[in-house]
Formats: sequence, C-alpha cells, structure tokens
Amino acid sequence: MTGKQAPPLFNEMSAKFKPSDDIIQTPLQMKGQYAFLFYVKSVVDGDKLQQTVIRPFFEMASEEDFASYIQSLPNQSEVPDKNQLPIKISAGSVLMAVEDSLFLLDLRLVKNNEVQETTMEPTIHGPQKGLSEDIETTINLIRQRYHKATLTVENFATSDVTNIPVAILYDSDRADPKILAKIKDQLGNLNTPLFQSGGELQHFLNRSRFTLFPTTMVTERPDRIVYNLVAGKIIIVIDGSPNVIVAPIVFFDFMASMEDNYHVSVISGFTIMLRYLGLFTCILLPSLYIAMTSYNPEILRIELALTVAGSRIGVPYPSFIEVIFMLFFMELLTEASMRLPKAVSGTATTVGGLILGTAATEAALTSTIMVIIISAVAISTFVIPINEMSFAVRVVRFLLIIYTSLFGLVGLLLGFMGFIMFLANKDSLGEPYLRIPWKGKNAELGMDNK
Amino acid sequence: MNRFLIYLILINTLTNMVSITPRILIAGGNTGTVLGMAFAISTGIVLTYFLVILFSRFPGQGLPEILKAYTPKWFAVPVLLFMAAAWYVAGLFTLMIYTFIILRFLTPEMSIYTIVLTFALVVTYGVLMATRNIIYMSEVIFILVVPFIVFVQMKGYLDPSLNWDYIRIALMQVNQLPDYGAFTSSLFIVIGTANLVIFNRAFTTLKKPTLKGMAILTVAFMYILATTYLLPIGFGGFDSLENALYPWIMTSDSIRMKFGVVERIVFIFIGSFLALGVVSMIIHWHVSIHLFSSVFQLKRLKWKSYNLTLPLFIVFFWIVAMTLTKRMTVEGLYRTVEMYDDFVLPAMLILLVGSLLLAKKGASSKWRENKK
Repeated sequence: MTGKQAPPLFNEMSAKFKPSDDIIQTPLQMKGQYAFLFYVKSVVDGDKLQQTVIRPFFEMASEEDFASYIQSLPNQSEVPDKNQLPIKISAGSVLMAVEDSLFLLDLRLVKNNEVQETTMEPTIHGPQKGLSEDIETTINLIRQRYHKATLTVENFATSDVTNIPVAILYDSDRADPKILAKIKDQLGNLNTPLFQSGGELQHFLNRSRFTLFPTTMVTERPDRIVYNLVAGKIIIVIDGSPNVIVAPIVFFDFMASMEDNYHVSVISGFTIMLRYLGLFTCILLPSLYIAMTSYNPEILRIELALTVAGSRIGVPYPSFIEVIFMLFFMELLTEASMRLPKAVSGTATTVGGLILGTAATEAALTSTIMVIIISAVAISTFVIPINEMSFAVRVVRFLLIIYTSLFGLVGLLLGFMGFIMFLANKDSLGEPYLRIPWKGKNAELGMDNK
Repeated sequence: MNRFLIYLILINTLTNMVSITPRILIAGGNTGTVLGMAFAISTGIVLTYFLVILFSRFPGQGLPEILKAYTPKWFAVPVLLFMAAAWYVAGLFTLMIYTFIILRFLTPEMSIYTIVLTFALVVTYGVLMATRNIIYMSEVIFILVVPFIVFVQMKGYLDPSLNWDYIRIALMQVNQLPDYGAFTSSLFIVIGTANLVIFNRAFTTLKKPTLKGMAILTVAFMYILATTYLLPIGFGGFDSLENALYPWIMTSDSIRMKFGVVERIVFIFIGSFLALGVVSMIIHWHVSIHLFSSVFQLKRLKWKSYNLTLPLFIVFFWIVAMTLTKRMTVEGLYRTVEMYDDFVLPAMLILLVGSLLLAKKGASSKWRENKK
C-alpha cells in the first residue's frame, strides 16, 4: 500500500477478531483519496454498504466531502471505547476511517425480523400479529402503537457472555422512578453467564430462590404491552426473543385478558366472572371432594351424599389417594400434550383422557364422580389467561390437597386462607401483589407512599 | 374515612356474632339488654371518633412509639404490657371458641391438639406478616366472605318460621335499666378501632372521621348488633334460649336451603365466620406480639441476621394456647369472657384514651420546647 496506512485501531481490532474468515479489512482508494473499512461480512448488509458507502466514495470530489457525507448519514454513530467496539462490530456495524476521523455505521443485516403470529395468548378480536425476534423491529412495533415523546427507550449492555442487546421501555411520565431504578439495578447486577429469552431473564429478575408466583410477566401481545405502558409499567425487550417482560406485575394482571377490553361491558363482565369461578373451581374442587367424602359427607344434601358414596363403592383406598392418583395422571397428560409434536398430541389426549378415564372407573380404581371432577378441574385450569399463573395454581392445588387430607374441611378453609395470605404478603418490586384495586394506585391510603 | 379502617372495625364486629356474645346478650334479656346495646353503640361511635382523631395526630406511629416518645418509661412499660396481654387473650378467646365449635359441629373425633394445629400453621404465618399486608389480606377475605354472611342473614329474616312476636317481646324490654354485662360485651363488638394501637403504623395519612364513614359505621353496628341479638330470639323464643350454648349456630341450623347443594345453611355459616374469625385472631395476635416485642426486644437472639424475638413469642403464644384450650370447658370460657368484658375491656379502653391524651399533651409541650 503506497499512500496512507490504516489507523492503529484497525489493526488492534483485526487482531481481536483473528483468525475468523468473515472479517473484512479493506481500503478504498481513488486518486490519492483514502478510506478504510472494517466489518464482519456475515452480519453486514452488503447491498446497503455498496449503496451508501462505496459508491459515494468514488463519486465524491474530495475526502472532506466524503467525510461530511458520512457524518450526515442517519445510521452513523460515535465510536465507543475499545471494550464496546468489538460488540458493535460483531453486531453488524462498520468501522470507517476517512481523513483522520473514525466513524461507526450501523449496517446490520437482520434476517429474523418478520413479525410473528400470536400463539400463547390468542384473542378473537385484537391484533393477530405479535412481536418479532429482532429487537429493533419489536421496538418499532411498540412505538408505532404509542405515539408519545415520553416513551423512553434505554439500551442496556448486559454482562453475560453473548452480550445480547436488552432495552427497557417506559413512559417517563407514568413509570414510578423508584421501580425503574430497582429494575435498572437488577439488570446491571445480573450475574448469570448466559440468558437467551424473556422467560429466562424473568427467572433471574425474580431473585429469591423459591418462588411460586411470578412477579413479572412474559407477553407477546403488542396491545397488552401498550396497555401496561399506559399503566406505568416497564417493558424489557431482549434481542432474539419474540416475548417481552413486563414488570412489576401483580396478581390481577394475570387474570386479565386483553379480550376484556374489546367486548361489550356485560359480556366482558361475564367472562371475567367465569374466569374467577374457574380459578376457584380448579383450586378448591379436588380438596372439596376429599373433605366431603372423607370428613364431612353430612354437609351435602342427602341425595348427593348418597350418590357420591354410591359411586365410590369398590374403590379400594381413601379419597385423597384417589384424588392424587387421578390428578397426577391429569398433570402427566397436560404435560405430555404440551411437549409432544402436534401430530401425536391428539392421540395422546384420546388415549389418556378417554380410554384411561373409562377404564379406570370400570376397574373401580376411581369413582365416576372423581373423573368428572378431574375433567372439570382440567378445563377450568385452562380458563386462566396467562399460562404462568395456571402453572402456579397447579402447584397450589396439590398443597391444598395435602392440607385438606390432614385437617379436613377446616383444613381446606384455612389452607385457602393461607394461600390468600401468602399472596397478600408477597410483593412485586415493592408493589403489593394481591390488593384489591378499587381506586388508583396511591390514591387513598398514603400507606403505599412509605 | 379510610376504607381499610372500616374493614378492621367491621371484622371485629362480625366475628363476635357466633361467639359468646349472643349468649351474654340473651342472658341479660330480661334485665335490659336492649338499652345496654343502645348505650354500647353510642359509646362505641363516640370512642371510635375520638380514637381516630387522637391517632391521626401521630401518623404512621403505633402506641409503643407514641408512648416511648412522649410519656415517662415507668408509665409506658406497664401500659404496653397490660394491653399486649389483653389483646393476646382476645385472640385466644377466638381460638378457643372456634376450636370448640369445630369439635362439636364438624369433626367430633379429631383431637383438640390437631384442631389447634390446623390453626397454628396458618395463623403463625398471618401474625408474622407485615402490618400493611394483613390489612390487604383482611380486605380480600372480607369481600369473599361477607356475601355469604349477608345471604345467611337475609335467608333468616325471610324465613317463615321466624316468629316476629318473640322479637317484639324482646324489644318490649326497652324500659328496663341497661344491663352492665350486655353493655360491655356489646362494647367489645363495636370497638375494633382500638386495633389502631399497632395498625396505625400502616396508616400514614389517617384522615379525620368523615360524616359518611361514621354514618356507615353506625348503621352497620346497629344492624349487626340487632341481628346478633334478635334473630336467635326470633327463631328460638324469648325464654327458651337461655340454656343454649351457641344460640347463633342453633339459629342458622334452623334455616334450610331447599334447593341448594348444601342443604343445611349452618355449614356455610360456620365456614364464613371461621374465615373471619381467623382474620380477627391474626389481627389481635399481631397487635399483641408487636406490643410485647416493643417492651422486650432481645437483640442478642439472632440467627443469620434474623431477629428471633417474634418467632420466640409466637411459640410461647401457641404453648399457652394449647394448654389452656385443652383444659378449658365451654362453661369456663363463658365465665372468662364475661369477666374479660366486664373488667379488662373498660380498663383497657380508659387506659388507651388516657395514655393517648397524655401523649398528646406531651407532644404539644415538646413542640413548644422545640419552638423556643
């Protein structure tokens, strides 16, 4: 090379990336004018590079013109320090040197930016498209639904191995600064080697070792995100994951479906009521069966008590074993149909549900009423709109069964109260987890302002 | 008025409907229960009003903090100890009453220890909860349970076998001089505000009582007390109820749901009141344990940076509760509650108002000193 040499930073960078084969370090040269490029070929958009950088270079009259042209490009940014620079380059930035100044151009080639269908939280009305795996597309989707200057996006460089980009979004007018500071602090102090998705990060944010109820929510619906932004919540977006995390989340957020806002008031009132009845049913019904058959059959009206007792004729063990036995198989069935490929899962359900259920009653291993109860419980578990809550409820159900088996009907009542106490005693980033929201957050108490 | 304060008061009021109180009221039936109740309501309303005003002068502070700041120590410590014991006993009564009810009506074959153990796990967790969270929890349970209670009472009032003549006879006793026992036990029902002794810590902006809030409370007190006393009489007769151990449970067992899955309404009744009883017990013992720990704070008793004073107290609480519940009889409990209502309660209330007034005086004089 006759004329100028590449700046020392370039050699340093290429030393860092050696011996990877997709590194390009190339000078542009024309009539004594020089420019230097450094990039990773596989993550940079070649066409764009050609259009916006290489061709203009050969059309410009002088180096100064080219430099000021580059400086005015919208995707140009400051060159960060030497620790951050490799991260940027490996994410698709092009390092340039023109005259004596350095530029960094963002020419990312993104292949995974298509918007995905909603699969986890489907609704009949409302948007059918969810988010994207690409962080910029996701932020774009959210911004396109929330046109306000106060919507703040902050990028975070996390300290894990892959340096995955993470961004937090919030409305700076509405979000609580204390909670914001807490979340930033937690994101800064993540000491985990690797995380790749929203669900995983959520797990690390929850902190304490034993958690049953989630305090953050993973969602894929843009309308839910905007709804939560308006409520002053904070959204965490992770590159490569089509889900975002919403924090802080309380119990009632898990019981809300976005569909509630799209229906006529009476209809949505009816569905909300249905949902809560489903929640109570799936928590209480199995334990109630134990309490009613083994402890206090006299509570039921005589005919019903006799029917229940009649259907249990021939069942060789006490009711709590029957319940645990059937619930266990029901949980196995749910778990299996979730993990299996779609083609097989239909068969599994039929074999498990229909054949096993019928055969078990005919073999007098369970009562027919038990089969009805188990199916009712299974159905009402699915009524809970957010999956994570229904997982938690499944665990609570087993704990309640144990307590009821030990202490009877009083045990059921007290166990259920214990469950409410546990929820009330929990907090999600300082927000009380279970608290009836008659009025706005801090409106009337002054209790929460402590 | 703060809605959480109203829950605190009403839970205390409702819990006592099943307990010994109706029996005491009915025992005084010939000697002026009606006037006693009327006096109790007016006294309760006035006391509620003054207590809320007094506590609102010390926002976010419980009685221990107030007394320690503004009164001499020789005064503060005995007062706090006395109150802690009073609140512990109040919670203990609830525990005993419900243990006996469960033993008699739900699981006669279970041992008393097992029944108390059922309570022990949940109540221990509840007592050790943060003050603020207990308030949230009581709201949830209140809202879940009260529809059932209202349903049972409506069912009772609309029942054809309710004899209104008995109720009229009971009301005719209005010309008798008020009965002291009926007065104090009704007073215990309406004085849930006293729980502010500790719960004021959670209320950082306790507003002065509003007309609306006081009106709601007055109506609620009148309705609940009247129902507590009159509905059993309407079912059981004015004269024949005197020997009934649990008049209200008998009453609710007279009501039947013809088409319900649960035919005998008494189980719904016991269930909902049991839930409220547990909340009330948690509230009482929470107050008691914090009053105790304000006097004895064992700084050295630590395990992994966690102070063990509260767990130690709760273990004590349960040991005492277990032994006493095992020994107590229903009749003995009745006499003890009567004595508690007659002597301990008035003394406690006088002490509470007196010490608050003293603290108020101390606070204003301190404020003047600071101003100089």
